[in-house]
Amino acid sequence: MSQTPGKNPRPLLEVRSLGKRFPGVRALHQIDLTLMPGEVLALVGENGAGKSTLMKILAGVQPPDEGQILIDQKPVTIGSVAEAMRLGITLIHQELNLSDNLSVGANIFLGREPTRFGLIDRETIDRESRRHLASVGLDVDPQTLVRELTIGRQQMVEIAKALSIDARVLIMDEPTSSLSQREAEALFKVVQGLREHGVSVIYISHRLAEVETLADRVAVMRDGENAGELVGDQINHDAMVSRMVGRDVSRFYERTARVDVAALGSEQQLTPALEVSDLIVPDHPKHKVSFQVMPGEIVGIAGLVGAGRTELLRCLFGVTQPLGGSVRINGQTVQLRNPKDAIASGMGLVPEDRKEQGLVIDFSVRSNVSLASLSDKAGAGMWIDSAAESEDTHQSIDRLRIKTPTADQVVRYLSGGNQQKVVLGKWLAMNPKILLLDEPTRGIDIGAKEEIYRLMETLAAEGLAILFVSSEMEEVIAMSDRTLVMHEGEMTGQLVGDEIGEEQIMNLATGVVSR
Amino acid sequence: MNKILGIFGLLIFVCLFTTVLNDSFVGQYNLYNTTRWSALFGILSIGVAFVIITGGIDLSIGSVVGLVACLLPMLVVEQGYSPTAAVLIVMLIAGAIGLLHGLLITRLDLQPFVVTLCGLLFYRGFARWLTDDGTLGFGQDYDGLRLLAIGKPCSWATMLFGGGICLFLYGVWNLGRLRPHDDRHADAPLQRELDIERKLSAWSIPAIGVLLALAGSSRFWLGWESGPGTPLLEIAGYQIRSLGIEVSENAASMPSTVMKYAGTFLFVPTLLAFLVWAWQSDAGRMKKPLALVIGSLILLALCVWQLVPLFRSAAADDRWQVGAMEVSGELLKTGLMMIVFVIVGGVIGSIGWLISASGTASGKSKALTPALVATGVMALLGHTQLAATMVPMPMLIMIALAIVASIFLNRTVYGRYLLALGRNEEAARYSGINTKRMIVVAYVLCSLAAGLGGILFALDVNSVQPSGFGNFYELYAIAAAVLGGCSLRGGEGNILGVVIGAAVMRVLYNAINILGISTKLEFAIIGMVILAGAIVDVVVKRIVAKRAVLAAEEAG
Repeated sequence: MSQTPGKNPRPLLEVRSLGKRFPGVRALHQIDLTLMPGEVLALVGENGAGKSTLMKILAGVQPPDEGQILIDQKPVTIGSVAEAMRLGITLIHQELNLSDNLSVGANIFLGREPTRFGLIDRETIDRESRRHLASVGLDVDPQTLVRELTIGRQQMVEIAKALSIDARVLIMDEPTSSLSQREAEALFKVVQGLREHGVSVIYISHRLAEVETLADRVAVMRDGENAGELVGDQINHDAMVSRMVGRDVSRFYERTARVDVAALGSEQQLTPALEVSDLIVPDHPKHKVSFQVMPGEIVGIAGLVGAGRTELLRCLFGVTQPLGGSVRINGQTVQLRNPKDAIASGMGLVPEDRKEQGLVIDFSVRSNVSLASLSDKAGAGMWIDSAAESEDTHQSIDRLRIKTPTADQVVRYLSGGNQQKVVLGKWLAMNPKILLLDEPTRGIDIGAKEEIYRLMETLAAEGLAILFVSSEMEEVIAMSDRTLVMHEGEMTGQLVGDEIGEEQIMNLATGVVSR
Repeated sequence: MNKILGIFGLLIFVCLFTTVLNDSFVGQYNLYNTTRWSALFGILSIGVAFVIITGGIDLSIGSVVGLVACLLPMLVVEQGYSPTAAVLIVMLIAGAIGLLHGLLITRLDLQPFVVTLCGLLFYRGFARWLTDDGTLGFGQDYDGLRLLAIGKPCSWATMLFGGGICLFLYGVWNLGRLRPHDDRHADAPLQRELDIERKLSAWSIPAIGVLLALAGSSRFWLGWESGPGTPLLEIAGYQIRSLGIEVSENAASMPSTVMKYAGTFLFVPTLLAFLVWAWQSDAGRMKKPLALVIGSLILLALCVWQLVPLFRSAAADDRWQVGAMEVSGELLKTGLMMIVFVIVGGVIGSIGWLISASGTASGKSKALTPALVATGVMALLGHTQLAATMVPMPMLIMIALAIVASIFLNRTVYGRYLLALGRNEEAARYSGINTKRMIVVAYVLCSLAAGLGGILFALDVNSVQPSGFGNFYELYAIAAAVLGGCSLRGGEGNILGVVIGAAVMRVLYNAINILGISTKLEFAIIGMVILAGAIVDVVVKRIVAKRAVLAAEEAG
């Protein structure tokens, strides 16, 4: 290491006015960032704030459009992942980047295998791997296949891999999002250990409590720009959140009126719009799920990643087949063999991954909006009714305020929020009775988020039953009339009205309590 | 539309260039043969386009052609089935083959490449075993059936006349459905522009129809040289011939010198005005493409000026000094052709494309479209024997098929579903589309087209060798579809482009023959031209993407 030790060590990594554009989005604008040696810098911000993009640039996955990166105060260009590694920067992705068909040792040395006589030197790999694994406190045989390890342990392998190439900057993108409490605590210990060894860590997380305990310094991003920095005592939940959302937090998420539909329902003897009894989702065959959604009610499903929420929605929508149980829609038992059946019985699903499942991304706004309703409105069952198609499209554009130059713009070039509105428009053109939303505000900007919340409210007021999954705690708390919480495929609880709070949800979501 | 312009430009260029080098290219005999073969391959290409649109591939087309071509004479000649029954049976078999492919691919999740590769091997082997590798044919007894492939129902003049009238009627009907302010969300200037554009394109259809009909019938109302009978007689030509009455084919060679000069002198300035106005409409974005156009025109002029005399004077066994090397006349000719086809062909092919890709042409230049088409057709008729050339029956079949396929793809929900699932199968499924069934439909359509092609090829050639009949046809068909704008990633494609693509393939092949270039180089040249086309495609796509990003950003 070249920098001189002293009271004012020079920054290890500096980023100056970095900018990056994607089709239709300005992902980063004039970003500055400094990282000291042996420091844990937390990077926080809403989804879509540009954190992951910034980290991908630092790790050489994507080139920046403008700006400068300095390491040891020397400007560098990071053209590839290999170059980033040479400079000592390693990114540990949200989705781990291990080849799960290979052994732990093979993964640690992937791409730079030590050789002897032109053959891979397994003994060295074994020996060295053990050493690196020990330094992250992981006691596994390097010969074990990666797929046999838990996610938490796989993450440790990633860290060991980073250490094995003498990483000076370790970037961790949402490392705890799929870890259990115990695994997460083990991870924190490792991170603290790294700091003591002079390795700098950039830690990206949505879990602000973690950030509070772990970070030396916090950099906040909002809409692709710097939104403030917090050091030491300044680091607390409210300070971070207010900078993340850029306004007074308490006023942002708020439903105008919660509906106590359960009470309403028993009063008026309403039939639930959706009634699920003892449903066995194929991904989690051990648990039976039961709940109901009344017309006009917004029900949120909370839980950690991997809790089986997406799988539940997919099963309800007929993408996968339940192993048991029944679904009733407006009191009628329905068989949902495929999405077509689900749509026919009045459901619409805004899927988690809008680019893969929600949209035909190279189709126009018009063709996307009409895709689901096309056959219903077709003349003689096959002729496209272009007048009806235009009408639906323009109604969606008006109602959802989709910002697009024309109705024939290719959806790829719209911003995330507008893309999501196109998906919603597709279902509104069907006049659904039940709307399933899976992470409806993921990766879209704050303005569009708010519009989607308002829309959910309006639709509920019109009598639609809405069931939505969200990983953003505040969103679930603010939007749902009733909250269902899941943990590893099991419905661990149901919260109504004032019971809906962060602590209650977290307890149920982590499986600490169940009721 | 951009892609069609590009591939159409390429077709025109290859035709022009071949004509300049050897005018027997536009002789009646050659025109007839080229159009007939283009039509036959066009039928196969239309079929495979559906499969490619779903993101799949069908490698078995050539073998299906071979199998059907063997079965048909076997059933008719050896088994004594009536021609109608035999045709129905082989079409059923072809359809069943497609169904099998589709089911294996969707139900068992096999890869299309694997399934159809096995098909390629199996149907070929099966046909050879079935026929014991013997050559089959229809002999002289089935000329009525063979008219399907070798019939000459009418001349191209009649075709233009009839087609023009159909286009006119369609255009008028279409005008009746034109509604203003279709896109109420565009801002005012864009709105106006879109409105003009829509009206112009709507009005240009009947206008082009009238002009085509006039051009097609010109030699009657202008009292020019007499053609092969009256249109009515020509339309009835198919039946007349089957009765054994000869219809003269050589009555008129060239329509008229008036047509020739009027067409040419009107066409050139119209084209220039079109280019200039297109440039003015969006000067900033037009510079690069325009530079490309000018550059390629200069290159073309240089080629014509320098290479044509060289080419014409080079005989196969001459020795030529090129730099430090001494080469044979044949090699020299080949080299010249390669250079010209690939470089200039690729660039010119992109002209029309780039014009519309970088800032659509202005209203003024769009208004010129009918005039451009009409004068182009006039020049074409004046300079070639096209008007008097007979239309091969397969061409009529192919045109009918293309129209039906085009309507299916663009106007029905099923066509939309195919495009949607080709782009993103998961999203299509999540939108309630039965994607598996649609994929099966695509394979059935593809095999049916291959079956129809097989019937026509067999009737045309009248001598089927099971071991080689239809070999490589799948690759010609796939290449034509790709040239015509289908993406092998799926979700993209249009029938007109595919048909033109098939024509380009045949014209290239024909040019290689007619210019005396070694036919051993056939594959090499076709390969290079397709590669050039693919490269241009990628480049243009990037340009289009950039424009779309800008447009989206302006919208906020």
